[in-house]
This record gives sequence, structure tokens and C-alpha cells, in this order.
Amino acid sequence: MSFGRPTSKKRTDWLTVLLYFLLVAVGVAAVYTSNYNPEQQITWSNFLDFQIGKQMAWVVMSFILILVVQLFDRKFYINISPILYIISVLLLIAVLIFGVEISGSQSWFQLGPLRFQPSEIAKVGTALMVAYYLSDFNVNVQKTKDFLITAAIIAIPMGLILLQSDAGTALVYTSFILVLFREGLSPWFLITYASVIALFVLTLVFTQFDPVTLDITRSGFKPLAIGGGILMSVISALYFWKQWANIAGLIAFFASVVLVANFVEDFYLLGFLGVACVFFFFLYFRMRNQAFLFASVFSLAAAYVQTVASICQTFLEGYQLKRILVLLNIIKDPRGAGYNLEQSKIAIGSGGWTGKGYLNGTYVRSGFVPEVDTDFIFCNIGEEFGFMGSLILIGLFFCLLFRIVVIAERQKSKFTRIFAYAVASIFFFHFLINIAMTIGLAPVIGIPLPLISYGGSSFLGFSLLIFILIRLDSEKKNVVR
Amino acid sequence: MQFDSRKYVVLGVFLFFSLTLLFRLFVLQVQDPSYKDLADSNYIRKKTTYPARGLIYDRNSILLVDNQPIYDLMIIPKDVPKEMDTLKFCELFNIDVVTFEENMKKTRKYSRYKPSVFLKQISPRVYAKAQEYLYQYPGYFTQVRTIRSYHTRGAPHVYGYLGEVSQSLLDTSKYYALGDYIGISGVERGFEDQLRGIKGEKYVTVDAFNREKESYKAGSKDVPAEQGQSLNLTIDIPLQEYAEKLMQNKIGSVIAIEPSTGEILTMVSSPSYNPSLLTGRDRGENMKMLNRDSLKRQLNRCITATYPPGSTLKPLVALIGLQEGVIHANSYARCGGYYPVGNRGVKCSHGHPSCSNIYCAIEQSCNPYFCEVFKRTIDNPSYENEEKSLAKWVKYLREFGLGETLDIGLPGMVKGTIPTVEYYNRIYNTDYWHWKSSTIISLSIGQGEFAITPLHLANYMSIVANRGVYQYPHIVRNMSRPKPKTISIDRSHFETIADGMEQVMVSGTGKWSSVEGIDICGKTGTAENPHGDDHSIFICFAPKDNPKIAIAAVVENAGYGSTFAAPISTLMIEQYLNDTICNKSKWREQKLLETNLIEPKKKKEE
Repeated sequence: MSFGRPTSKKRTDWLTVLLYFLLVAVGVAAVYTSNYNPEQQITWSNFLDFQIGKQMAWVVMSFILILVVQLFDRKFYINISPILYIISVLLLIAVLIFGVEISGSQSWFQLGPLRFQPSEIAKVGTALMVAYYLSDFNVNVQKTKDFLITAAIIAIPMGLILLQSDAGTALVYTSFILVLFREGLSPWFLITYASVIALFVLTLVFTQFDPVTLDITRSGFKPLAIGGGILMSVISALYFWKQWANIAGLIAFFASVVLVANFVEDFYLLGFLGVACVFFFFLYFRMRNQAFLFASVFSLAAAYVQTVASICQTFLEGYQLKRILVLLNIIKDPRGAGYNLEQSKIAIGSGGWTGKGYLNGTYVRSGFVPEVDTDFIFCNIGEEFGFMGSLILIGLFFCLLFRIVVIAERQKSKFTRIFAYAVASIFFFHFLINIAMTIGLAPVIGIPLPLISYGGSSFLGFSLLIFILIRLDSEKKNVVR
Repeated sequence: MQFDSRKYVVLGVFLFFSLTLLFRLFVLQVQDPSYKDLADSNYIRKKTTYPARGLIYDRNSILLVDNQPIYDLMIIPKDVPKEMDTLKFCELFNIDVVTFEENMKKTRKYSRYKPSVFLKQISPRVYAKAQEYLYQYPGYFTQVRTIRSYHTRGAPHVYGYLGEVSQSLLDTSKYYALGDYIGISGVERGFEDQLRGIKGEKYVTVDAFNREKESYKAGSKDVPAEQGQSLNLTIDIPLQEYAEKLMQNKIGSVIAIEPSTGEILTMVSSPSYNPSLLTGRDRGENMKMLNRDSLKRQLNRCITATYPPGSTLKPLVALIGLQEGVIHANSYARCGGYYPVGNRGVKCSHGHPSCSNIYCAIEQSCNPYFCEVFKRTIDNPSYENEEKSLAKWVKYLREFGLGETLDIGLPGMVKGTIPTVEYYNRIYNTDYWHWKSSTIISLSIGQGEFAITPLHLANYMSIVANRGVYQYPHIVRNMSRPKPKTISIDRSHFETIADGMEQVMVSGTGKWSSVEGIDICGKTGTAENPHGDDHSIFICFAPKDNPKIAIAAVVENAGYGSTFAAPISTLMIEQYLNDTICNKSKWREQKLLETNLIEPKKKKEE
């Protein structure tokens, strides 16, 4: 480590810049084709009446802004992080009051002809703030207090975005778990994150829903509890090899949960599981016998499974639940909730190896796929460029992510590293979920494909993330911390 | 650093999910061909184009029914801008703002993306005016359809009307689709297959909201619709209209047939309705109104109403008697004002001396004479028993088409009932007593187990006019029908009967309706009606030699055949043969036009 070697030499990471511009080029082309109409002549005078014109305007504005971003140094960004974060949060609050509602989410400010979505910019603020907080010498994410503060920094904007009924964008913030993981968060969190999603899906798969009213016609608890109980029994038998008391006790407990579920109302079962969870956790703390931890976790998981379906019905809009159920193939609804997905799959699937050629995407052009310039823009690429196009696009994204991780890992500055991981995580989540939802691997939650989808705010947000990172990275030689 | 190696985990996650996406995309785009097929079927849509329905002409190629384009104003609500000059729009289409708002709401509720009908059937006048300004109102457009348009108010029962195809037919037919129009009655139904034409197919590319974009491959795969074939009716529309005029304000039917061909010249069912009511914008309302009407205006009484033929059957009774040899032209039968049967007797109302020949009997419509003829026919010793002879008698009736469904090209023909041996055996079947000729003597004067339609009567008269040649009656020219056949009664007997019927018009029951210069043969009838006043019936043909027209007329509850049915028929004959009504007949025409039999009846009912 070299302290304070004064140098003003800047090294811009041109590879990232190149990847960025390639993606922007793909994006502009995709937005153009998704609104392409051979009968309409685009001229300079009516340029801004078209999506492509508006998007180009945003691209130009973003280019100016990323140049501006390069004028400030690392210190400035570190110092400004809390301020940017607070501004982001304030904007998120303001949009709840002054914002306009568009397709069910109150996420936009309307400024004359311009629409602006603060949640897109809040990602930048939050990423900077997480980096700012965690890069402090005294902060360690493994410490409970520091973890909770970090979690709060992420949860505040996330909660506010949830209040805008924009569940998709809110979920993006869960991707910060990768950042925290890299900074030392226990891998159990990742495992828990995956388990929560897995159990969620499993429960829904085993629950029977009325296809119209979405009422639960059969709870998925019992099959899951029995299956889970048997699985956990095997795991505990292996884990506590020859500790007969532990094994017998755990199996007895698993069996009793299944038995109790047979005889009591859902409400009391939940109470029983809750009490058991706390009780065994307490015993674990006192005696440090891991069998109690097993029992506690099992109770918690069982309680979660018991409530998932109800949670869905309480917290999700009917259409959101329906989308998830359709995706999981639990109910079929090709004309309704399944429609978007089916059309999107047809469009992408019809692309074949090499696609139908640029501006020849007849299926998308005919208007079968909804929101084809924003959330479903990948359909254009899939249809017009086929599997080869998809491969190249996914390759570009993977290269970008890979490059960002490389940049992160070469930093001496903890701040820059954390920020880089935040950028990678956000890009990754958007890229993964957006493409996955168009091909039926994820539920349809409306989040844009970074740098590709039509939409000024998100384009601006992603550009800022990349170019702040590039700016921070360019100073890596000068950095101490 | 402590957690450096975790970068591999993060990169691993990135790589794993990227590969997952790629794998799935590979399956979707390269491996699974079903999506390519789906893409094709979804954006090319087959559209049906509707042919214009065939036109309907009268026997002299006068256009009666054709098609009229009407325009529906369609809307795609999502394309309608928020700031719209509603007032000007309403003024343009002659609607009030309330209607506008209602329709707006209704169409929005149906779909914001799919086109739906905003205003049904705007008149061509409004259309012409509005078309110029329509471009100012995005989201609205017009769509042309055709509906029936009638050039005459005459013969609505012959055309019938159109309606939406029923569910039961949709289930069985491959041709019809929901919302298609189909003939419900009349020739529209009887000749549906010819009239409807052949639907065409048009391939268009559509978007997800079913909005058409352009024709597929420039229309090269389209199959144009074929217009329906025209129909030439046998109806003579001027005569039809004249007959309807005479029948106005009366309940009943008039049918005229050209005997030499069997072509139906007129088919009047009164009271009638304006066929234009059942087309166009207010069809539903008008249909309800007509269904509520106690006069059942839509009913084609010519083929659905049944009456006892009354005295009009007598020429036939005489014909059978002559053919069976139980009487001859100069047979005598006593008439003392009644014919003795059991303790009741059949009265004779006509007040005349006993007839010494058949001409007199027909002329005076002498009941006892025909009772005697019938009795002799049934008690004919050359038959084993009454059953055999009655069966033979009924066979003659059937030869004349009575009690048969006549396929004239109109659906809904009622068979009617005529007496049968089985029926009497069932009714009078006891061990110690069998029916006899006297039991069923009322058949001789066309009463009793008789219920036949005016068409049956006209057909029978046409056969008599042809002197026994049965030309199948029909309403559409050149329609397929059986070859003419000859009745198993000697031609000479027909001549005898024709002579008798001629006398009717000269000095008998029909003399008040005779026409100077035209040799009419007729027979009056008064059908007893258990529900009210007698029905006035008249059958005739003219001229006697080489007849041009045979007519059957029934006027319900109008009393004697000579008072209404006869003058209507002879006026028609005069009009048809002379093309004009002479001064001597004018007063009859005048009286008929002025008489209203419906109003007093309605009042009485109230």
C-alpha cells in the first residue's frame, strides 16, 4: 500500500465504456424497431413525437450528464453520498404525494412533457450510500448492529417504492444481498434468501387455487410438512450421526408438527409453530445444542409455508398473484394473465436460430406483445435476431458484469469496490429478471432491461451507475482507502 | 483480504443464471418449433366476407326485394381523444348528448381496443353528410352492411323475414356463424340456400387487439364472396296489391293460381304488415309489437289457417259421385228444406224447389241433394262395406291434395285434417253399433272432420279448372316439383261440374258477384265456425274455357260466401283478365274498400 502518492493520472476503463455503448446501440435499435411503422416518416420536425426520438433525447442528455460526472473526483462522490441518498428518499416520499399514477403505480413525476421516475435514480443514491456506510473503517457487516443499519439503508427506499405499488422495482433492492455477501455477510443469508424463494414456489405449487376467484381450495401445508419432515429427519440423522437422543427428539418433533396440523385450526397451528420456534431458539442459546436450532428453523419454515398463500392473497393484487400462478403452471389463463407471457414466448420462439432480420419482426410488429418497447423489449431482439442475437446480448451483459467485478476487485478503495458490486448486483437483477420473465422463467414484474428498454429515467440511472463507477475506478491508483 | 474468494461465488452466480437464460432461450428458439407455428396462426386471421343476398322479382321481373347498404358507426374507444367536440358530433349524427354518453360508456365497457358498434344503421342521408367530417373524429369509422329493402308493401308473407341464426342451427350447421342472418320464414327461408350466396374468405394480418392492419399477401389468398342467386316469384305483384287492397280491414286469405302452370299469382293473408318493419334499426321493437298484436299479422293464413270447406266441397262430392256412378248429371233428389238423418236432419237454407239435376244442385247449393249423393257413394253396393267406400272417397280427396302438405316453396305449410276411416272406427267403435253413412253425413256439405287451408282450396279449384290435370302449385318460378298428374276422374265429369259452377254465377248463390263478359265458374261456401260468425268462402275459376286463373278466398267471420269472398274473387278476376274494373262492378269494389270487419270485431271482444 502506498500512502498519498500524489498523481493526477486518470485511467478510464475503456472496455466498460465500449460495452456500455454497445448496449446503448442495441437499445436504440430495439426501441426503434419496437415502434417501427413503415408508413410513418420520421423527420426532424416531428422527431420528438416518436418513442425513438424521445429515447434519443434521453440518450443525449445522459451522455452530457456522464461527461459532467467525470468532472468530479472520488472524494466528492464519497461526501455527496449521504446527501444524494437523502434526496432520493425525499423524492420517493414526494412522488407518493405529488406523483402521477400510470398503469397502477404511482411512481412518476410529470414535468410538462417529461416523465421522471425517482425510483430509478434512488438506486444510484442507495448504492452510493451503502458503499459510503460500509466503507467506514469501524463498520463491519458481520456485526448485528451494522448489518441492521445497512439493511435499513436499503429497506427505506425499498419500502417507499413498495408503497408506490411498484413491487418489481422494490425487489431490485434485494439484490444488494450480493454486495453484503461480498463484504462478509454470512452465506446463510444467501441460503435463506434462496430458501425463502424456493419455499414460496414450493408452497404455491402444492396449494390448490380456484382458477377464477383465486381462493385456496386446498392448503399445501400438509404435503410440504410431511415431505419436509422426512427430508429434515434424514438430514438430522446424517448430521447428528450416532447422537441418538438428538435424532429421536428431532424426528419426534417433526412428526408432532405434522400430527398437530391434522387436528388444530390454521390459526392455532401458527401459534404452536411460533411458540416452538422461539422456545427452541431460546434453548439453543442456553445449551448450544444444534438440535434445538434445527427444530427452531423447522418451525419457522413451517410457519412460513403455512402463511405463504395467505400472504400472497393479502399483499399481492389479484393480477400479480395470477401472474405468479400462471408462471408456475398452477392455473392456466392464456387469454388473461398468461396472455402477455404466451405472446412474448411466441415472439421470441419464432425467432429461430438467426431471427427474422432487423425491422422484420412481424409478430411483435403486429402488436401481439404488450409493452414491447419497455418491459418486453427483449422480444424484439429474440424475434429479429433469434438465438444468435440473444446469445450476443446475454454475452454483452455477462461481459459487463464480469468486467465490473474485475474492476471491483482491483480497487484499493473499499468504497469503490462496494459501489462496483452494487452496480453489478443491480444490473444483474434487472438483466436476469427482465429476460427471465419474457421467457417464462420468472413472474412478470415490470422492470426494464438496463440500457435497452425505452424509458428515460432508467436509462439515466443505469448510465450514472456505470459512469460514476468508471470515474471512481479511474482514480484507483491514487486511492488509499 | 478475508472474503476475496467470494468474488468467485458472485461470478458463479452471474454465470449460472446467464447460462440458465441461454439454455431456456435455446429450447425456446431453436429446439421447439411450436412457437413458430403459433406465431403464424396468430397474426394472419381468416375473415369472412359476406355476399349480398339474392334479389327477389315478381313473375314479370318487377324488382320486389333487394339489398340496401346501411352504415354502422363503429368505434375503437381507445383511439378517441379526450378533447372531442361532442356537441358538434352529436349534431352531425342527430343524437342527443345523453345517448352519446350512454353509447360511449357501453362501448368502453365492451372493449377499449376492439371495434364495436357505436350507432346502429345510420341512415344514408346522415351517412352522406357525416362521412365528410368523420376524419375529424379519430377512433370512429363506418362499416357497411346490407339489409333487405322492399320495393312494395305487398306479399310480405311470401318473402318472410330474416333473423339471426339460432343456436341449434349453429350447433349442426357448418356454414353459419354466430350473428349471421338467415331466412326465418317465407321464401327467405324456403330458398335460403340459393339466396344466401357463398361466403368469401379474406386473409388479413391483425394485431393483438384484433385490429386489422393489411390484407395478407396483397389478397392473393382471398376467396371473394359470391352473390346469392335471384329468385323469380310466380306472384303477379299488381294483382297481389289489388287483392290486398280489397282484403284490407278484413281477416282472411286469398290465393290465386294460374291453373295451366300451377303458378301462384297472389297469396294474400290479411291483416298484413309492412315488411320494412322487420328490417333495419327498429327490427327488435317492431317484432315485439307484431308479436303482441292479437291479429297475428305475421301469420300466413293461406297456408297455416284451417277451415272446414263448407259448401265449396260440394263440386268435389258431386265429382266423386259421378265418377263412382252413383249419380248421373240428371239425377233427382228431393229437397224439402232438410235432409232427414236420424231425428235431426241437415237443413237446406236456400229455399228452392227440389233439384232434378246436378247443375241445379250446385247452383242452389242444395244440402239434401249432396247428402243424398254422399249417402249413395258410401252405401255403394259395389263396395264391401262403408269402410271400403269411405276409404275410396277419402282417396279421391287426397288426390286433390286435401290433407296433404303442399310443397309450394314456403315453409310452415299446415297439412290440415280430412276424415279417415280409422278415425271413425276409433270414435264409433262399439260392439253393437258401427258407424254408417248417416253418421258422417255432414262430410257431404264440407263440415265435420274437415280442416283445410285456403291453399288446399285454391289447389283443388285449379285442378277442377284444369279438368283434372293436377299442376303442382308453387311460388317460385322453375322450382323443382313433381310432374303434373291426372286425377282419376273422367274429364267429362269435370265439364259437368264446370257447367254447374257456371250456373252459380248466372242464377245461383254467386250471381250478385258476376262480371259481365267473363265466364266465371264459382262456388260459394259458408263454413260453420264454432267460435263465432261463419266464415265466408268462395272458390272460382275463369274463364270457363281455357281458364287463366283459379281463386280461393276466405274471409273470416264475414257470413255467407256470397257477401265477401265472392265479390273479392270476381273483382280480382276482372282486374286480372281485363286490367280494369268496369263501372258495373265499381260499387262492389267501393263497398269492399269501405267495409271494416276488424274494428267491430275488436270492439265486440272488448
